Amino acid sequence: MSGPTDPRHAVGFFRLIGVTPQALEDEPVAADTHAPWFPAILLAASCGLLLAALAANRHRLGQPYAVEMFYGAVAVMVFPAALNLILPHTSRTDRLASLMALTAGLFGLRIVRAPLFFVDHDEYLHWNMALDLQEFGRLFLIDTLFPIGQNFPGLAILTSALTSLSGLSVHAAGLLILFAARLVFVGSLFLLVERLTASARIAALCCVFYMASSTFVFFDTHFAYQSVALPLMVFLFALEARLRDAPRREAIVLLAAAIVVLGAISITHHMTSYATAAILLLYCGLEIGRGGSFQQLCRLAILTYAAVVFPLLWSSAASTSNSSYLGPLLANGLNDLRAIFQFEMPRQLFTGSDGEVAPLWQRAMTLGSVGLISLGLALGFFKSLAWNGARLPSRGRFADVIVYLAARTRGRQVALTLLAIGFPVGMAFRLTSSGWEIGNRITPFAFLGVGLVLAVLVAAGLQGRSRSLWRAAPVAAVAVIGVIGGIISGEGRLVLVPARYLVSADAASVEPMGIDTARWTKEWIGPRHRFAADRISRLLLAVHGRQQVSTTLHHGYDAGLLLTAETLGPNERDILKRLDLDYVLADLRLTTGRSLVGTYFDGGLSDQMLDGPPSARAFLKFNDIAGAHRVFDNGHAVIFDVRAVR
Amino acid sequence: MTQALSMVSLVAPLADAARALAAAALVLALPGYLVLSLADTARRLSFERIVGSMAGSLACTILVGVLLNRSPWGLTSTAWWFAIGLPGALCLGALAVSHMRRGGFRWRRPRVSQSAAIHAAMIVLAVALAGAALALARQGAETHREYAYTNVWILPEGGPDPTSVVVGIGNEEQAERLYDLEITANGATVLNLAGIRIEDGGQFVRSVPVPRDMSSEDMIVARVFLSGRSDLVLPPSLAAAGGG
Repeated sequence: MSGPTDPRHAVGFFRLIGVTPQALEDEPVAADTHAPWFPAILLAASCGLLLAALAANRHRLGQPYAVEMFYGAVAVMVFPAALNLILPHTSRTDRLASLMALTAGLFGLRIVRAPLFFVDHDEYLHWNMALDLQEFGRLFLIDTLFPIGQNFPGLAILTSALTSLSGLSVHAAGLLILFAARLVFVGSLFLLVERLTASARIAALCCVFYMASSTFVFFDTHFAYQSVALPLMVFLFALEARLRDAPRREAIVLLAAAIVVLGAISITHHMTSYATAAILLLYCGLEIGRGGSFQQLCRLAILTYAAVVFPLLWSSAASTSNSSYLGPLLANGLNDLRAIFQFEMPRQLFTGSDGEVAPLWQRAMTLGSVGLISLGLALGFFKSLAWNGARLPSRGRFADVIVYLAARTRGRQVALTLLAIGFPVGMAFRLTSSGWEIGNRITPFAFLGVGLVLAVLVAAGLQGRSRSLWRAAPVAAVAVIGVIGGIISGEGRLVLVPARYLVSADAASVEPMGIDTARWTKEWIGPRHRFAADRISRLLLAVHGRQQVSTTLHHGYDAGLLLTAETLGPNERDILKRLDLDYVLADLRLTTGRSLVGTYFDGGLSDQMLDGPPSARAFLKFNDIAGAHRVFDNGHAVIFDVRAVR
Repeated sequence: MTQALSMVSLVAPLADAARALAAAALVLALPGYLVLSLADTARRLSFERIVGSMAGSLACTILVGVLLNRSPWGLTSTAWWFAIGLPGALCLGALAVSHMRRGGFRWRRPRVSQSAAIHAAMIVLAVALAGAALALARQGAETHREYAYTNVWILPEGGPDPTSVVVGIGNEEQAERLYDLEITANGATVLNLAGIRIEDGGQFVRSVPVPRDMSSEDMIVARVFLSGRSDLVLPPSLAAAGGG
């Protein structure tokens, strides 16, 4: 009879919470270059891409079931690849090739969505930066649209190099860079996890489950700094994992390479460089805790020191402070989060700022995805923490088992697993209206842990050594739900470019007429004039018209007030004068509906004073102002020359 | 001559594509490959080497860019050619020579089994389908035009004391249109043109002298009508520009 003092109880407890370390099934040898399923998976990815292209075209024409067809295309891509990666007997080469085919297919979705030019808000900010660099050949220029971005020019530098050497446009060069970065990301994640777990299967599954991140398919393939910095970060961790046990000569070169990569990350993206430093510090703490060798500790310490110092050095070299940019974001998010804990819901879920609610199936898919991931985390978290390829002792006291596990557990794997805690934190932030951006920033890092936990759960638990397709199919279906749910929660209803213009809706507001108007300004009045305009028009004016647009972020004055005021009073004239404006662009379409993203201008006073769409009368008040000339009109957009008024 | 031109038109896109591919290799693969070659003595092109080459290249190019910014040349095309293009090409040449000395490139005819042939056919089909998907999406985006509209503009010419104004009409109505144009100065008609035919995507531009007796307070107004219709294409008084 066993009682509470029976030492076997401790082992039973660990088994209960999912800690069942076990030897991995016999994986095919790494040298096996046979990839029998890769062609079929590549074909499935291509068919999915074709289906997605048809769906995108249907959506542009306003035909029904386009969005459903698009998500069907995603399922066609993900399901066969996930199935192949779940099965234990798939060779490493087949896993890698299938994974790359899936990665390329999913990257193709972002091209299918916007094949002619970049369409998203952040992409325009970086596009403008790249054009400035191309035009002036210098970094750290004054950028009124995106002041902080000038201090992190990694992506703009890469684009400048490729456009200069290839003669390609910024758009084409940008796509090539993003595709390379995407391959680096998935490839590095595979190599990192493979090295940590000694399992190509867990590595490949980790990559597939990572794809369920809401930022993976679209946000992290935007022409924006994080799309390059994140792959470099994962590559750095893969380098570090190799550096740990490398012979001396190789270690020196690897350490030098890792420091170069760290430098590049610091130059490219602030958040990623901070996250890199934080994860390396966690590595250090765990390594010290488990008493790693002095040599290994030294290598890690050098790298961690560089990761902490480089962003600080770069910030001081570029004379930038990110606190003014990130600080308010964090403060507002935390305030909203506090409201949630007081049972107030600051944001209506699945409802846009214009009041439109997402379809039921999309809500179900997103909730299903979050629910399944949460369940997977609950079942697999401790399994992944303790997973080390060895069996639990048959008996032992609580402390003995902890010591046993701690001695065998790999510190880096524990660190990555702990990142999964970021998933519920990110989800909580996503429930808030001002903190969703923080949630969005946490997600790519948290999913490094989520992917690993789910992969360990599947490889060492749900599927195990079974070769049964019937057992693998539900897990592959979960991967499909995860990826689709991730896309829905990341992009919402703007996953495809709609048939009709939507008011202040970023990608859904960028259309040929607006671009045509911006190009007109460059052709007929010349570049570098100072413009006041709304949130979308100023992106178009900056990129396609090469104009200087006014923003509250740079100038400290809200030009939106000038547009929304019913009359041109002394305050408005003061704004005209202080901003030294040459032209005002009034897009009358803004007066026809509510903004989808919640703001028409900068989100400042002009937006806060509006309780509905701005009035057309206010936009057209310059018609009656002596000295203001209406120099352009197409029935939707009007440009006023206000040089004589200021 | 015609044959030569058609040859050029055929070869030019291929040359552009070759240049783009070479540049992509120089920026996105070669620098990292060379760095990793220093660490890894194994010459085998492994997956790890490929990923490392690409990531290393991204990182190296970023750092080179920062250094170029400190140089007097900046990040210009010429500077990039000297910083990455030329060294990369030289290193490629050196690698090729080294490889040739160690036995050169030997082409081995692969043994093609039936399943391998089927796999190859599937891969070719997949690439073709992906290409078709991208072409289809491109074509769909190019032909998608929600709005049919007419751009009308009026701009002063001749500096601060304009001697004339430029009036333009841009037809984006997705079909050929006939327009009537009326320009008035302080209410008096200066120009009246009827039946201006503009094809879809085309423009009509006319320079109109400013009457000598106009001051900067006076207004020149352009009105554009669709021919045969009394309603205006655009809201009433389109634009105004002062005289000298």
